[in-house]
Amino acid sequence: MASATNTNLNAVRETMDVLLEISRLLNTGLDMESLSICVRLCEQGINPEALSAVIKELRKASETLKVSENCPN
Amino acid sequence: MAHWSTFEKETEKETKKLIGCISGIQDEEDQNFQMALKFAWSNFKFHRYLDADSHKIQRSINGIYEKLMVHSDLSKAGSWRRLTEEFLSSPLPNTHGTKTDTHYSVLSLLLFLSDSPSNTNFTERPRVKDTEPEDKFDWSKYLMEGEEIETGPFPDTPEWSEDESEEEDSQQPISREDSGIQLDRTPQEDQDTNSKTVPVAWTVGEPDARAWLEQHVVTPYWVGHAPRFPHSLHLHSNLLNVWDQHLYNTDPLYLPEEKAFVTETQVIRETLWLLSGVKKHFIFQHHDSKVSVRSNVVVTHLTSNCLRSVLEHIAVYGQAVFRLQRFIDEVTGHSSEPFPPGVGSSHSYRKGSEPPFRTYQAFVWALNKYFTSFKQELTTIEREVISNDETVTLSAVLERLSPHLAQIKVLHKVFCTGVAEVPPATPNVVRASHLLNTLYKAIIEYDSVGDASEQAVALLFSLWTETVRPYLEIVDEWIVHGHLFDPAKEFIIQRNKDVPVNHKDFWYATYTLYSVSEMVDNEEKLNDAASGSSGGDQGSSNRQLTMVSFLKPVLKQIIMAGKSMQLLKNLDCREAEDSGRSSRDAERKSLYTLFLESVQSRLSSPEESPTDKVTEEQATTRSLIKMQSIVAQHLEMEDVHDPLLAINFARLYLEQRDFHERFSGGDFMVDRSSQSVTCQTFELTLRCCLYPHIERRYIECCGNLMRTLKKDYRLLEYLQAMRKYFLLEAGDTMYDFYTAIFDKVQEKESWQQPSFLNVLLQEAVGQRYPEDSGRLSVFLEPLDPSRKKHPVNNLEVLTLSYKVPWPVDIVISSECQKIYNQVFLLLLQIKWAKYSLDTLRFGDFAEVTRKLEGSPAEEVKLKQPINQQIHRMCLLRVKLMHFVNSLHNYIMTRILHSTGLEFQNQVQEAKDLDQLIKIHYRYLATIHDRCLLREKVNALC
Repeated sequence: MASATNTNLNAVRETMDVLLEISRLLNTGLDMESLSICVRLCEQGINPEALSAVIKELRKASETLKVSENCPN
Repeated sequence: MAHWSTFEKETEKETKKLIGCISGIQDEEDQNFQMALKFAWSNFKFHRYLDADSHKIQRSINGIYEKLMVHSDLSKAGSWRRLTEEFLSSPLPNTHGTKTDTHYSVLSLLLFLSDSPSNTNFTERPRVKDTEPEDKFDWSKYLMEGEEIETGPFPDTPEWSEDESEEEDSQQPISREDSGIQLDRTPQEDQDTNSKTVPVAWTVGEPDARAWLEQHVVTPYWVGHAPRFPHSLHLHSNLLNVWDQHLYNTDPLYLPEEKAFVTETQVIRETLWLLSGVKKHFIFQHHDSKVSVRSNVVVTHLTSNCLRSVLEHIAVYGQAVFRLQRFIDEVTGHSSEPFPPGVGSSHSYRKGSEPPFRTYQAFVWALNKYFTSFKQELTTIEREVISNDETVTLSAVLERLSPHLAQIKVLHKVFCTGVAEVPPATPNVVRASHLLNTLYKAIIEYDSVGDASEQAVALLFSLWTETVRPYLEIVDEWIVHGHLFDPAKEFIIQRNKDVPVNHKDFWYATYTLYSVSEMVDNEEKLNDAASGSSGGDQGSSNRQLTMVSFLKPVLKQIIMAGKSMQLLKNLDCREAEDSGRSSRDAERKSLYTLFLESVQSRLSSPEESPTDKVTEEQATTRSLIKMQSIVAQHLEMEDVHDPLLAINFARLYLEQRDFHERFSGGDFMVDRSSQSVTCQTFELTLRCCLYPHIERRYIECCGNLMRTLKKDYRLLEYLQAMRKYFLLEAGDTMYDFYTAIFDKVQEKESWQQPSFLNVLLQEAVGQRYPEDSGRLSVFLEPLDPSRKKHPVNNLEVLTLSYKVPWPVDIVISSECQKIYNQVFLLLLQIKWAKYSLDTLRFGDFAEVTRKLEGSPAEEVKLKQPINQQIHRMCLLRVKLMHFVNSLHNYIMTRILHSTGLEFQNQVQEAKDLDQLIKIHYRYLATIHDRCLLREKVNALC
């Protein structure tokens, strides 16, 4: 029935909202899109610690890249 | 990378998105992007971190809560607690359940990424819950589809109609004020008719609901004192009242009785419901199995008698439908009403442990198919009535249904004759054959009427082909696999379980032909002897015998084929072609399919050419492959990995589907116009469509049996051996044997010892035919003293016996051996005569005569006559020898040899085992006669 899937979608949407709130509270710096990608990756079984290491490294690297782009000297 | 699994591909996709999000690099070809991707993958795959531990995380959560409390950040702490709890009990998109490992791993990810939560400003944002969209479906409209509200003939002018009804109400009681009996009108009803409200007994809470119900529920005409609906006063619409008035005026004793008024639409709907098998009506009442019309139902535009006659006409059909439906329910095992313990004849109540009576079930299925199409028609009519696009009248409906009603009548008649009138304790065999016979006779009857009953014939023919299916399947199974599978004992031939295949009476006693006796005139007596099986006669001889008449012409072939097949299955078959044949058994078309195909090709018009054989085959294989993959998927869902099972299921579904597509019920249109020259009678159809397949199978399998017997079991060699030893064709061997006996007899020694005789026989036979020496033996029987007339009869104590292995002893039975033995004894006697004559000498004749004469004085006188006598004796001896020799030659050459040649020719041409047995018996009878062994001619010997 369409309504069942609708309720399901609604529930999932709610969950994601809750998760976003949690992440805001914890000041993780993730936005909704990144958060949903992370949730999907965790559902697929990726280890969260590894994932967090990757994210931290990526952030660091992109910071460095931005800095180097801004100051090309 | 092609070897990646789905998981890896999805992860790759997500990782790329993540990198794009976090780093801001969208270009996948960028070196940085690729490096980032590689970094991410290597971390995902080759990390050394532990998995998320739910207890640790819970401790962290509690720790953070405490920390926030310690920092006096109560709101944050409260939000934290609430949010985490809510998250843990919420579902995730692709994970089932709450508080799973995934939940905890997501939380742990966030915890790892967190950056001093106590220092941030956070206020929980209120979240708006989405409410479910309201279901806009209008249930009331759907359920109350088409229920009319009686708005009267002029709905746009409601006031006027109200007035009119008031007037009409006041009019009618006026004419009856004298009678004082006003059963259909009470003062309060006068007020009620104007408002059109439904007098509902229960109260509804909200006024909206009540109003809704009032609009959507039909006026219950079935309760007493139902409010009357208004109708016009035109004569045609008001006929009932006018007629009542007339009766009242003319007949002083006329009493108007309580009537229930219905509209014609309601009558139509009740009729349709009755014909679809509904049991509870207002207008029609059921008592036992009879349908009757309620006595006081009237419509306003017909007199009550007129309506009653129409309704009674319908009630008859309703009864037929009801009876047929009940039969269908009984056979399929659905009984809607519990049967009282006293009622319940053997064919109306079946215990679950009885085997299914397939012929009745097939009949019921055919009936059911017909009823399904009939009910479809009824539903269409009902929809039209509901939608009210055109006017629908009862007579129009009846006219539209009239062909169906005629067919129902035919079906009911056939049903009554074929099923209902059968006494309860009859066995299934009789019931099945009676039903099939009834259908057959009905078809022939309707067929002879001609074009007028085309529909009836088509219907009966389709019914018959359905009902005959179990029978044909039993026959098919029997003549192809040699296995008579008939759990309900409905086939006319029953397997005698006590007789195993190796039994010496196997050929005769295994199957019993059930001959049903019925008092029917003009039925031919069934010739049991022709089939060679033992018939179980039930009834005295002056009753006529009948059985399933459509199988009668081929019954003999079916029996022969069946028995031969069973015998073949039990023989050690070394034929290579059999294995090849059996592997394609799944693709073999059953007899029933062949029959239907022939019927279809015969009855369909000649312009429709049959589809190309090649493409048909291709199509079937393609659909088989497709079906097989579907079925394999289904099976794998239940963890069954069996490709063979999948293929067989696929084949089954395809078969059924093709079957239904090609042979759906009403497809048989007996096309008479195209065959004007050869009239397509039913029997002709049958003859061309069914019998050839059976005969083909019969020829095939009996020929197979013959070949097997001759090749593998050396039937001909055994027959030859019988002739060699019993008919003395192996002259030299038997000469040794009997000469030794004659020598002993001549010397007047005792020779009647079985051991001596057997040794003699073994010696004689063992020299030239060592393989037969084990099978031959001699027995001695005490001789009947009345037959001891001549010394030559002494030889009659001998009995030669030849052990013939099964299955050849079906042909060469013990009775045959007795006859062979008699001929053998005769020949032996002739040989003995010959031998005696050969060894007769007159050397001691002179001494014998001298002893007789006694005195030596007459010696000289009698010497002359003695020589003469000796000479005469010699002449006599020679004449006798000539006679015996001629007789011997005649018997051996003219009779035995030529008959033997004839017999061999016939054996070559024998088509089945019964024929062979008959030929053999006839041969034996011939030589028995010709050797003058019959009783009448015995005196000559």
